[in-house]
Amino acid sequence: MRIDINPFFSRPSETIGADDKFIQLFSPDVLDIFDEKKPLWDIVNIIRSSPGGGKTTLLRLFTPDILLRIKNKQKDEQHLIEIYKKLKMLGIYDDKDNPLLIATHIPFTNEYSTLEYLKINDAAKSHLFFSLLNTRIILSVLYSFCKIKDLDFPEDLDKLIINQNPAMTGYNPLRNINNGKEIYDWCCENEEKICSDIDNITLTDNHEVDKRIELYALHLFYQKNMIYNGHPVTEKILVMLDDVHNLSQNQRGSLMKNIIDRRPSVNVWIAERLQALSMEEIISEGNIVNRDFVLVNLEQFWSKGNKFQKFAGSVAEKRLSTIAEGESTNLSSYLSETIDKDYVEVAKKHTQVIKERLNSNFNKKKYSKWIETKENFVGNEIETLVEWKRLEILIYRDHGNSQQVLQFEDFLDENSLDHQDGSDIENAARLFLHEEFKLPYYYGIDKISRLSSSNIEQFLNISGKLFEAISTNQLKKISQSKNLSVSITPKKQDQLIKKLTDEKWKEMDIRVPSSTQIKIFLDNIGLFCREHTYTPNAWNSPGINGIAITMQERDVLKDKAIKDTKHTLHQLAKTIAVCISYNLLDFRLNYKVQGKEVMILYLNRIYCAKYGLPLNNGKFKVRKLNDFRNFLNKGNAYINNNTLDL
Amino acid sequence: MRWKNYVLNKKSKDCVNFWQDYLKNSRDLLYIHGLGFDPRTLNGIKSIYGIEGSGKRDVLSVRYFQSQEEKEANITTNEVQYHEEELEKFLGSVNKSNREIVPIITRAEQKSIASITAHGIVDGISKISGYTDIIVDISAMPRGVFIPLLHKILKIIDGYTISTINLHVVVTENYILDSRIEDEGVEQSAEFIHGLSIHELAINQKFKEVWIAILGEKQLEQYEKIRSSVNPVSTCAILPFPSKNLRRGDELINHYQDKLLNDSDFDIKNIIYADEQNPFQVYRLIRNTIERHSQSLKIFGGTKVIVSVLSSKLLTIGAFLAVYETKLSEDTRKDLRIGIKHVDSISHKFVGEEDKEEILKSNELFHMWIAGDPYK
Repeated sequence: MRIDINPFFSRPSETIGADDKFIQLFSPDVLDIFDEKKPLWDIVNIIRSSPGGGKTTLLRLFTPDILLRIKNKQKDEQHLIEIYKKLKMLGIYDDKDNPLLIATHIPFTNEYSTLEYLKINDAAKSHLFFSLLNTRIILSVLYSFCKIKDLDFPEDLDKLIINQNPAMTGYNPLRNINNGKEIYDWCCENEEKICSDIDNITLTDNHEVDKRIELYALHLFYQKNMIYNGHPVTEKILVMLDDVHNLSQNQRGSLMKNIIDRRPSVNVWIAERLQALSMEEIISEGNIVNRDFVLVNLEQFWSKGNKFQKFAGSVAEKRLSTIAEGESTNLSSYLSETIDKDYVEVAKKHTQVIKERLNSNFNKKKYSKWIETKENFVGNEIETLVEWKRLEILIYRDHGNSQQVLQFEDFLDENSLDHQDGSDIENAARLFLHEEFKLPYYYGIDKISRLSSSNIEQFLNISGKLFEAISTNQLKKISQSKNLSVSITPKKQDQLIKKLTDEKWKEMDIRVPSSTQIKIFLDNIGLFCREHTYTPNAWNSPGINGIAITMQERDVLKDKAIKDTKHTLHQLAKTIAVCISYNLLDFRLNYKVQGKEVMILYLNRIYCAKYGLPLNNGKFKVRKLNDFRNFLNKGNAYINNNTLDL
Repeated sequence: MRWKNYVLNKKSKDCVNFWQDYLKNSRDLLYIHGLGFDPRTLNGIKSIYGIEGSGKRDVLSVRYFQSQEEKEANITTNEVQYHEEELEKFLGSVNKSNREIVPIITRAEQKSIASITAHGIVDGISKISGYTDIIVDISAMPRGVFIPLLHKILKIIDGYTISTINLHVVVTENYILDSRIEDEGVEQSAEFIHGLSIHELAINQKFKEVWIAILGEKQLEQYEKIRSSVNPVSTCAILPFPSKNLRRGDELINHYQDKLLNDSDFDIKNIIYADEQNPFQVYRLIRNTIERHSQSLKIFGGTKVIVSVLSSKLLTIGAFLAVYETKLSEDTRKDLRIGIKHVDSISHKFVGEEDKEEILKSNELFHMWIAGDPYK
């Protein structure tokens, strides 16, 4: 294994063939977001995520250079077969492996949003914006067309004729040109002119761009109007507009309206960060049901089941394959799950501490059968310790129940123990042992994936930090002894995760606006979850890591508080919106529970490690908005009433 | 190279000596400075306008507001209020002094617009034609403001032929103070400074990118954001040497190692060392780097050079001069495009109010004469 490069931190570079490396690192699991039940073509697809969610990576797969590389190499390279198969299922290749898609990727940079703040009138701003966007779309589609058709760009564009349908494209500056090369030349000139206008630091309202405020380019490339070698083009045209969050609200609104209202003649995909949404939209996110577009939220897609774990594992494998040199490419093989020896030694003592507590706190007779079962347990020291902690939790539970229903001190048999014990209790037991005896908890590939909160950039960051320790072990193995293990122990993993969590918490000061306020809010949520997790009977086992409000109360935030700066809940609504857009809180909408619908806000899992919380999805507490507001205040006394256990 | 020979005064004493000598003749001065929280806000103006001499001593104070609403409500922090009162008191003792306050809005819709609105600080030649010397004090100005401001003024001066207008840049450096200033939130993405951008045009689509980054402390978040927005064939890191702390360069490599050493576009040979106190050396080194890469990459059709400054304001000036000069040649050199990419900070805070007076003793004034008489 190479130790000079950390594959989780390295970036594909142009020097070594960016396209090849991109394909090498691409995990086909991401293609599962295109649900078979949802239409993919002839409808606008809107893809949203937090920063680092993987939007651009997904879009780049469909660009001509990548599709052609996959086509040419899929028979020789094993890792391409799965990507190829999935793309074929989406209708991207025909039976002869020819791409059936002419896709173009158009990222929005700040040159568009700059227009909004120039000292020119609003009409001029719109003219420049639409003119530049139309020009970019046309140039980009022409380029992709040449790539897919294996033509010289731009020289061979002469072979393409574009006949406009005035009913669709309306009055536009290209109405009298139908030769592909002439259209290209006109667009190049126009593009340069507009960009120099944007950069012109003494720009006035008088400019020479066309005055259309429509995306005629999306109607220009109707397949039947594109004639190549005397025949209409049969490939689907796809325009992928990326980083729409970089536009101003006006531009974004106008762009969306233009696309969705006018139903473009080509396929359009839009990718943006949650940050692009207005505060109101962020809080309303997920509620939109529309026949005109399909909404895909990447993080929410990954959070269902173990999709993300699978995806992250495959990403890690592809990264490790670049440096493995014959050694394992499975990240989990480097993350040991066997608890370190030094814990084994003290585990006996800890078990004894628990036994003594049970003896002194509870009726020995009642629980004698349960205790006997544990005394007879056969396993190593750590497993035994966990078993005894489980027992302590269950006895606390039973004890609490008996007191509530004024039960007599009955004798409890073995079956009643099995009946109450479950995987949640085991998870809680391990978490409690981590808290009380510092037994490692945050380790192993499953927990590492969960800590990533369904965000691939976060996963790479965590894995990168762990890999540093792996490469140190590799160095020791090379220099000291071949018998040394390269994998890192649970203790080391747990320590590194805690260190990274602390760093991320500190980084928030730099990364997030109004971080003091945000930190207080998150801190109070974290402490609240902690308080409800660490109850002796682990009633919320394995613990809670989220809070929720009813959908009716969420409507108050969305419809009133966020719009009215004087509203008593305005600050709360704003704080929640910032937390969502910066991926500090993860949300679920319309979650049905006990006849009510709620919006759940889960802590980003990386911060769960800060408060010693479990990483599973599920347990949360519903609170009232006024209680939420208290979370904005430092030193909040956590409100224990009005809580609905879910 | 326009700034091959240059005028640079490195220490407060040298600066004051220069200005005492310079102001023996009658000079009409316009002092442009930022009115912010930074304790160095008034150090430069007090040093220069405290020297007696004849001619105008006008002041243009730039006030920053985070939003239109903040501007309308004229929200002022205690530090700004303090500097405002101090300045008024000081200018009361200066002859022939008029003052104008120009408000600029730095953010809109959760994004920085500082580099666009900064072009409005000096809106045309009429604002500066009545002076012999323009002094821009960048001590309390963020990069997103002073780079476009200097760009605009330099462009206006270069196109003005009726008389000579001298352009000076002054900055108060204080490394202890710098370490006590903390960013409070940074923008979510890296952007080009308005007017110094590289546009992705069909005609430069195949050009290869080169990224030149001047590294400094506590900028990893910003570095990472810029890094993820570029796709260079070669990354060049500029490190400080000579420097007061001789290990500063090594410490910076340690600080950035995860994100620098794992990228195949970075080679140890691409490290450039520059004097941390000489912006003109940085200018020369960047110019040479640009030329070298532009020659090598000609075969691919052309080069896009992205410059990012994550270090002191002093070195930022050097980078700006290199980009400004190269940008002017874009009309004739179709195979070269250049721009400055950076990540704005949303706001800053000063941590260390209790020993402020002690910290301010380490202030050192630097002066750079950028345009005018010496360059005729």
